[in-house]
Amino acid sequence: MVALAVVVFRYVLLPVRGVGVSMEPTITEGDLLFVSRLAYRFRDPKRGDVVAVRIAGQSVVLVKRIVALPGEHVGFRAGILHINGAPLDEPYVRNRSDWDLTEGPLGDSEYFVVGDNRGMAMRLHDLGAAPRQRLIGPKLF
Amino acid sequence: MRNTIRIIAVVAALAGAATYGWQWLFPDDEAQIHALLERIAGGVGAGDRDDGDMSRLARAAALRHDFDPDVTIDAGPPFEKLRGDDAIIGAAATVHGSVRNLVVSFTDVTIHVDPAPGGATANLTAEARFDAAGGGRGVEARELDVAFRRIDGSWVVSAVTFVQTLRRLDQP
Repeated sequence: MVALAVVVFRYVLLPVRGVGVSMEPTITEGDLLFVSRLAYRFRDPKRGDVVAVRIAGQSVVLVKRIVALPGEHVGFRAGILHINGAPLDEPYVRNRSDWDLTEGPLGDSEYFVVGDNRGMAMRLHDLGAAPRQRLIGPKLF
Repeated sequence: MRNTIRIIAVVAALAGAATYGWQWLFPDDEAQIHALLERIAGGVGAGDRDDGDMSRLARAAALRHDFDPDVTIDAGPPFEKLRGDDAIIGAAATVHGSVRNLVVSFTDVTIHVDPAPGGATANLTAEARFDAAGGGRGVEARELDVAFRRIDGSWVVSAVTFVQTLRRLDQP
């Protein structure tokens, strides 16, 4: 049983405890979620995935949502996310303030990630382009 | 047969204890650098809310032994770049006075000791948890590259460089 748990949590699932408010209301402080370590071996990351982003390793990770894909132009106008110049419908965003970020292009293997809580000040929020190799996998449950 | 197993178990236990004891008495470079990082994490942490000013200043001053006098630190925005151990101590004292219940830890530490003696580097995640202004606990985590050098037989930090996890769109 212990061996099975070791294998599952080392190679299949990454357990993550939610800290902070940047993903509210989707993830709140103290939530326990499980990230698939295998999913991105079989498919590409897609828009809307809630993903774990590696920092130096996998003990401490950022949890964000993919909102833009490689090659797209992304930015914020008065709090509304724009992809290639068009506003993106984001039903998961409940709090919104007037974020402004000049639209810019993503590289060939870059994904733009941002938290769901847009009610906080933009300077307090980690957001930006993550290279594919930093994406560990999507949240499963 | 049973005696053989016992002998093997005792020999294995003795070998394990001897190895542990040897490493404790004569830690290798990686162990020394791990210990240095733990000491720095404890020194930078602001401690309990009830810590006195003198206690906090003493812990900040003790950091001097863990840094090269010409150390450079770039921990990334919004922190200013620091140069010299006096600047480090000043910054630590300021943090201790303004941030409550700050707990610093270094995780996912990968150490590379240079083949030429006297140099080493590490890549790690620095995590800080603290009492947030609006209540609750705040958290900040970032990747750092750390360079070390040996001075008078002891490892010290000579440079810290911020590694960007997420690229801002206004940067190349």
